Amino acid sequence: MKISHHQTETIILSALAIHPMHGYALSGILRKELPQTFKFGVGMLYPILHKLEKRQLIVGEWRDVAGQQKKVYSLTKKGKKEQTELAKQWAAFSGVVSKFIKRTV
Amino acid sequence: MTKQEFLSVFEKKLDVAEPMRSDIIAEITSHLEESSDTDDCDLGDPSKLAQQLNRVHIGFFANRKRMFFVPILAGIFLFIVSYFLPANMIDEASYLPAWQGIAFYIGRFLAVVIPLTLAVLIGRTFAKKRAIKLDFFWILIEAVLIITVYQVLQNILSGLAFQEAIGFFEFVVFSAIGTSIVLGIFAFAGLVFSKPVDPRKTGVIGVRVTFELVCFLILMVFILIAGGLVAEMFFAPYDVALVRPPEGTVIRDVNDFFESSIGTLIVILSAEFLCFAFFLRRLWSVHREHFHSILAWVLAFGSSATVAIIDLRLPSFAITAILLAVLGLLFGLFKPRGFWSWAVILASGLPIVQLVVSVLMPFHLQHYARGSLFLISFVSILPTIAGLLIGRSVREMKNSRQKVLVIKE
Repeated sequence: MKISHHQTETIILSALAIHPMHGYALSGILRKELPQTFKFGVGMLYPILHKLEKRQLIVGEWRDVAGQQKKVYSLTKKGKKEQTELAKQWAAFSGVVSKFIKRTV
Repeated sequence: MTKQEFLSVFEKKLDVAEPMRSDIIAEITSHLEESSDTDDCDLGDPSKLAQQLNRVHIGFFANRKRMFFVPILAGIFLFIVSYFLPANMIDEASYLPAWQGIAFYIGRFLAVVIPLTLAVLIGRTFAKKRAIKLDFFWILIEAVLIITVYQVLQNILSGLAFQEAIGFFEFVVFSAIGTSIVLGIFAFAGLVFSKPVDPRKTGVIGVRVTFELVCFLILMVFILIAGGLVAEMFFAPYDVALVRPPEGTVIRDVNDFFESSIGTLIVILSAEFLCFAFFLRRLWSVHREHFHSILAWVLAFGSSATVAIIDLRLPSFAITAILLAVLGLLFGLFKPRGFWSWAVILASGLPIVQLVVSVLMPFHLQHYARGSLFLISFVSILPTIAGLLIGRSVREMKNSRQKVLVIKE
C-alpha cells in the first residue's frame, strides 16, 4: 500500500507535534512505526519537510545534537493549528471507515 | 552507490540557489553521515530527490524542458491566432516584395520568441536566487501580456492604416512609440533582474561565462534585431514603396534619414550604447574586484561583433581573417589563460551577426547573399586560433626570458 503525500504530511506533522526532531530521527521513527505494508520512501521525506517549511507549518533550525550540527524541525503556531485540524478530520474519517468495515465483517 | 557518489550526483542535479543550496546539501550530508553502512543511500535515487527539491524551491520551471512551452506558445499565437486578426486578413505578399514578406514574419516571430525566452531565463534565475515563485510568474505573465497587447495594438493600427482610417504618419508614430515602450520594458527588465553570480563564492568568474554576461549578450542581439526592425519598418515605411511622399515633406525626410545606414545605425547603436553603459556601471558596482576579467569577456565579444559588422561591407574574407587573427593575437598576448574560451567567443561574432542579418536584413548582405557563406563564416575560428597561438607563444617566450634573467641575477 502506497501512502499519499497528503497522508505523509499528516503523519510528519503529528510526529513533530510530539517533539521537535531532525530529518534522520524522523525517518527512523517513520520506518519503525509504520508497518512494512506501507511503502514509505525516505527520499520523500525531505521534499515534504521543505514544502511544509515553505508553507510555514514547520520551521527548521540548525542546532547542536550530540556534538553534530543538525537541522531540527518543529511545528509553528500555524502548524500546530493545522495538525489539530488534520487530527480531528482523520479521527472522524477513520471512525466512519471502521464503522462500515465492521458491518461487512 | 556509495554515499560519496550519491552526494556528487545530488549536488550536480540540485538547481536551487545559495544560501538554500548549501543548507540542503548540509542537511542531506548529515543524514548520510548518520545512516549506518548497511542502509547507506536510503534516500533513494539522488536525481529524483534533487528534482523534487528543485520543484519545491523553484516551481514550475524547475524542469528545464518546460521552458520550451513559452516559445512554442508564442509561435502558435503568431502563426495561428494572429492569422485571424483583421490586419492579417489582407494578403501582405501582394504589396510587399517577397523578401520582406518572409523576413517580416520571421522577424515578428523572433521579436516575440527572443524577449519571451529571455524573460523566462531571467525569471528562472530570479526565482532560483530569491526562491520566490510568485515573482517569477509575475514576470512571465507581464511579458506575455506586453507581447499580446503589443501584437493586438499593432494589428489594429495596421488594420486602420490599411483602411485609410488613420494616416501613415500617425501609424508610424504610434507604432514607434509602442515598439519603444516594449523594448524599453524588456531592456529595463534585463538590466534589473539579471542578478550576477557572486564571484566570491564561485571564484571562477574569468573561466566561465556568467549568466549575467549571457543575458547581456542576448539583450544586445535582441536590440540589434529589434533596432533594425524599428528603423526599417517603422521609421522608414516607404523604403520599398513604389509611390513615395513628395520630397521636402517632413515624412519623406524622416523616411530618407532612417532608410540610409546612418539612420538605422543611430537607432541600433544608441540603444546598444545605453545598454552597454548600464551594464558596465552595474559590473563596476557589483564586481569591482573582477571588473577587468568581465570587461575582457565583453570586449572579446564586442570586438568580434564589430569585425563581423565591418565584414558585411568588405569585398573579401581575407581582411576579416586578418582582423580576427589580430584580435586573437592581442588576446593571446594579454590574456593567455582560457585559450579555447577566447577562440570560441572571438569566432562567434561572425556567424551570429551573419545569422541575424541574413534573416532580418538580407538587403544588407550584398556580397554574402551568394552561396552558403553563412556556413563558411564558421571557418573564422581558424584565423582566430592562429592569432591566439602566436600571441600565447610570444607571451610564453617573454615569460621564459624574464625567468632566465631572474635566475642569472
